Amino acid sequence: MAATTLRLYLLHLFASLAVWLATYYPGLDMVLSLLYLYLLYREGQMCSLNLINRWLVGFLWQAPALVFAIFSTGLFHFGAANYGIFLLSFWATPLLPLFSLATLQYRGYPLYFPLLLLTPILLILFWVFASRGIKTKVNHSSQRM
Amino acid sequence: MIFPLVTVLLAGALFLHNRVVFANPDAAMYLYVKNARQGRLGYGFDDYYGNGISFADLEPGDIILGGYPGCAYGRFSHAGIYVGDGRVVEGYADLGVNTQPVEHYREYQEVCLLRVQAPAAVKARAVEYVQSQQGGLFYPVAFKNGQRFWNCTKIMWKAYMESGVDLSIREDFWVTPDEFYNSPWVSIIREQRV
Repeated sequence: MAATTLRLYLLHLFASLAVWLATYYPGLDMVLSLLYLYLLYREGQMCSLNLINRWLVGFLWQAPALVFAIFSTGLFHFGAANYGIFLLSFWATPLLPLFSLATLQYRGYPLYFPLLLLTPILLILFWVFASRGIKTKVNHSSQRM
Repeated sequence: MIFPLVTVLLAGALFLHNRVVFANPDAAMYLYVKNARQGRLGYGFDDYYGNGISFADLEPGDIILGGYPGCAYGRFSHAGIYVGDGRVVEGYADLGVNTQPVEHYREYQEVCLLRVQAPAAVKARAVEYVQSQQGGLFYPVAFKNGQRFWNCTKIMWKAYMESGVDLSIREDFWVTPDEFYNSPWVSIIREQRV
């Protein structure tokens, strides 16, 4: 489980760096963002952990982002909490090229803001459901046999 | 292993394309690191400082700078562009590119109003441009390139740049609010420090 969590952290860290650097070459960032989702899906497909452990890995992996998201709600006002939204932006870098397409506004807030707040949840769900894919497939195969 | 490799390749390409920036000791990244070492982090110590500057004679296209003490990237922490009717378009992390009342600049310890020395048509196009980008995504380290990621200075720099007015005074990845203050394209309307 620790190895899986570490793999996800490393994937996320390097994807963040690569996507950020790729924003210098507009368009490439979008390609890398989709590549990140594909590799994350592949990681999920290769995972053999049970459902509870998959959720646990997901929450461990996104724990920093969950803290940043809570700070970004504006409920807390102290040093690091004021920078929650910035930290969350950095954390969400691999998805930002996709979020950047959501420029609609509602009551003064851009659509990307709730997406940003939900980033850790979206990524956990994506990871868990990508992981479930292989489980379902194996079950189906075994039923046929 | 794909992303570590892509990161190294992109960092190398960025370095090769921007040797001038890396060689410039006044580049924003070096300024940020230098200030961070002295304990200045982020946009500084935000609070309501209640400056009493007058916004009376602002014209659409004017630039407003606000500064908190302890800012890591210079004297000024934030910038906005006046679009008329007491409103300013600016970029925030949670609001993206959006419109706010100009009065909120009273919260800054330092405030400065700048007039861009450009024809009225250029200013009108700049105002139109920033308004068309509302809802755009704010990213603190958005490079000058591209039109999907913004920070508070890039939006107005780009707006004027579209008409050939470069408010940035150096080759850099980013534009700091202080660059507008020092730009030969602007004159100071007035400034105040609490």
